[in-house]
Amino acid sequence: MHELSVVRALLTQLEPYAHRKLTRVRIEVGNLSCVDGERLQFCFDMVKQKAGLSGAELIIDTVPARAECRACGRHFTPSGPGDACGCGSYDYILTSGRQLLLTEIGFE
Amino acid sequence: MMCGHCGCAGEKARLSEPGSDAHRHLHQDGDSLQLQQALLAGNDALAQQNRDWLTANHITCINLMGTPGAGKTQLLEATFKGAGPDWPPMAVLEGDQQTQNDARRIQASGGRAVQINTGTGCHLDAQMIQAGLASLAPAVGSLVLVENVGNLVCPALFDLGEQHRVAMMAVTDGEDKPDKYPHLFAGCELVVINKIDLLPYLDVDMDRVKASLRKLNPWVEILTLSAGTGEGLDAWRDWLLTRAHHD
Repeated sequence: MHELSVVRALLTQLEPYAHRKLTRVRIEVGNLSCVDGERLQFCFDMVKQKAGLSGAELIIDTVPARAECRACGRHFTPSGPGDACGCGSYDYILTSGRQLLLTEIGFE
Repeated sequence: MMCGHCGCAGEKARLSEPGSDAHRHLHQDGDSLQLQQALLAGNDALAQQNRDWLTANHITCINLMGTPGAGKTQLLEATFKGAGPDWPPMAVLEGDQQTQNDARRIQASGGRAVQINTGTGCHLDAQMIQAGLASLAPAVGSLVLVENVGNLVCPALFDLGEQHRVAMMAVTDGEDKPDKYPHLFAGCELVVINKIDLLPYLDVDMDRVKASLRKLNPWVEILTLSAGTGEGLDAWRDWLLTRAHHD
């Protein structure tokens, strides 16, 4: 359940804004980040009241992975880990998909 | 004018360092603040501190992750027992939710070990390693082996500051383990497959396991061995010593 650790890290990043009332927190989760969005939402909702964030909604933008093939140079969207490029190669660089980012904090 | 990097209006305050493309804008728009901040930045910063400290002390640190029961502790025991006089000093950080059993096993094999109990935690993080290293106080030039909590999911996400990541499984785990838990096997430079002495009793196609691993991680090194019988251990020792002498 590493999602709880991720939520804890998120709360730490929100601490500097504790003097304001937060209405929304938006994060970007790459679909290859090995973090489960639903579980993340569950963990956030579980702790938000205690963290003084009862008025804040967590919005999760799931971002599909992007890859650049080392064999043919093509850019493509792997649907999961271990997905081949159209040319058959598994050797590619992920240009996006592993990110876990705090992207927006909304205030009242 | 738009910023080409993040698409925001060019008149916003911009913070940058000469010589680097990295920059931040102050996107305070009254009721909302736009950022691009890594959620695990706190862990990653501590991991970098660990890495810098290890490098400054010429210490090589290996993060050994894998299934519960893959034989991670058994491999470390065999490593200590087989270490020759030409080996660098070695020490172990043992991660488990409960018990000091594994640290005791390392001590019984002649090694130094500090046990880190994570309680309900399912993985080690950079802060635990920082505290663990302070307590272990490894010698300059040594090899530190971190045995992560037996778990194929969570440890993959947390940088500890190690220089090398090793994933471990046993032939008894089933040939589709890499397919089922791809993140860990995709994010390591070596996969150790243990308990090959049991192959005659199992219906496991090793070629299929290796093919799965190559799809996830085309350049990964794969070592098959038995920490119990000693078969294949020389290749593991060579791998470790090469890493130790390179850092």
